[in-house]
Amino acid sequence: MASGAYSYGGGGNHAQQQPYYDPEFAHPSSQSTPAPPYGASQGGHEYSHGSAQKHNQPGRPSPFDSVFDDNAYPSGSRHNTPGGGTPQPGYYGDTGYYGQGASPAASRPNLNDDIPLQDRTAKDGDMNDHVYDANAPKPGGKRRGNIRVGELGMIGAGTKRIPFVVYLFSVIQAAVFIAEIVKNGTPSNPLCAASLVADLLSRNLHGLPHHD
Amino acid sequence: MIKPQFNPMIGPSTQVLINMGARYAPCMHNIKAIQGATADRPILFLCPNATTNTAICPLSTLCGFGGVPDPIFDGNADQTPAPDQWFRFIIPIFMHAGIIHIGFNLLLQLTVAKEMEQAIGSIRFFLVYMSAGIFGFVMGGNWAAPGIASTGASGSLFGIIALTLLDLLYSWSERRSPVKDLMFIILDMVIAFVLGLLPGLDNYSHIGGFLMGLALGICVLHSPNSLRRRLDEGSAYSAVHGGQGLGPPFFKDPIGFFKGRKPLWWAWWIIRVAVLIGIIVVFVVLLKNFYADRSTCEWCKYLSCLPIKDWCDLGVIKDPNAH
Repeated sequence: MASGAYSYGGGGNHAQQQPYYDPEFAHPSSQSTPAPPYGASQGGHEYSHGSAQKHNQPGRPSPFDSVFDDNAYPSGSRHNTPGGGTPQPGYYGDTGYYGQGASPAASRPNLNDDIPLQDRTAKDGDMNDHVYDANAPKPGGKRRGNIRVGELGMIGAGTKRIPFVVYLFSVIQAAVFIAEIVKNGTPSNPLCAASLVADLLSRNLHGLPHHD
Repeated sequence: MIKPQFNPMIGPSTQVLINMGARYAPCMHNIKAIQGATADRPILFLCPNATTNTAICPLSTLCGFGGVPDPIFDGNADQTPAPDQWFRFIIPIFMHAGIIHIGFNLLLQLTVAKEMEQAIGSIRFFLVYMSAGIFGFVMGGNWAAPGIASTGASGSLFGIIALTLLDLLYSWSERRSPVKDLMFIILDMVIAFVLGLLPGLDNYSHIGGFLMGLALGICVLHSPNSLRRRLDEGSAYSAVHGGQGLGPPFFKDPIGFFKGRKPLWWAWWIIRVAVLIGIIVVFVVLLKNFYADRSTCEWCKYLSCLPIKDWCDLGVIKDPNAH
């Protein structure tokens, strides 16, 4: 049942609707609802948002309503609907669909051709363009080329974990190496790195065997 | 560094390295040429602080760490108790033979290995690093010349390089230039292998570490990216799993972990288990060979030396050389 967070005027066409939000209908694309009956009774008329032409009880929202609808346009405003306006739901049956099997051409038999929305729908085949499917992956075409030379392709690479093991082992290895040098014996101060290196080099390079 | 023999790595003498824990087979098991020698032609060892070829000490002094049973040179190669400093498979991971040696290894470790650890996490990294390193020394213990003292983290680092190769293969289609990446890795391996043929460098560490890294990588890394996409799995090694295809974490729900899984998921896990069993088997076989069977392979040393001058004689225990 609808949550009672809004109110409708009963019956008839209403110019204004109060804005509402009904969580039941917050995801119109996931619902498939039948098209409302369009017929001569509706032809050429303005239509009001939602409730007036549907078979619903007063106070209950129309299944064809959508949270994305702009309820600000009264019935007479058909001709100055803004170009970027949202598609009027009653016209298409429900918020995302043309209705069952209906196509744009079929469902607007009585409308003036110079409504800007017509052009828009002619080239925009998918009326779900404002519904975002967060889980849909991008097509594979974008995938190639993301990972450059030298980078890891592993998902999770590039995270900023601290590499404890590498740091710890590097410290241990450096310390052990210094201990090796000390144990090997050096005449000068073992803590002086420069003299250490000089000592090592002199010990090794002086005695280089001659290769022929 | 040059006494009693020149150390090309610019570092301490071999005897110091042995005394501090290098992989050195005479301290780890009976060797036919040593324990099997007779008293009139004993094998002699240099002291840890030797600077000449005449400073002779018992094996026990050279080995250090509380000593080993000295060979009694009665011709019996199966002397008991035998030397058994098993930790010489592990300690040398943290030792290096010289400045050049530690310089190259730390460079690799602080770049490639650091990134790898950031990618896969510390536990997996530690597992691969230590296993690859130990396995490299186990291989060397079995097949390198017995008198060679071996140190270095190269085996471990080669295991990590194997992980980068696996990562490349798993994400091949997402790479900008996968062939170039592959060329880099191959070049790296070739250079290291060639360098390993020089005297003083133990190629068995490299080879063994690389093989173990490949095998363990299959076990502990995520599945190939193409497989992950097909299984629609989560994308991180973190504890919080994403993706619709993942089940509950294993420890929270061991049975549920296996429910509803696709055949490909099972196939990859079976491969992983098979490889893991293979690793354990190979480890056991090689250790058994080292301690019990001790079958040797005469040509194996050529994987780690070039038959130039007397390079391949390095480490071969001959009498009456004072090693």
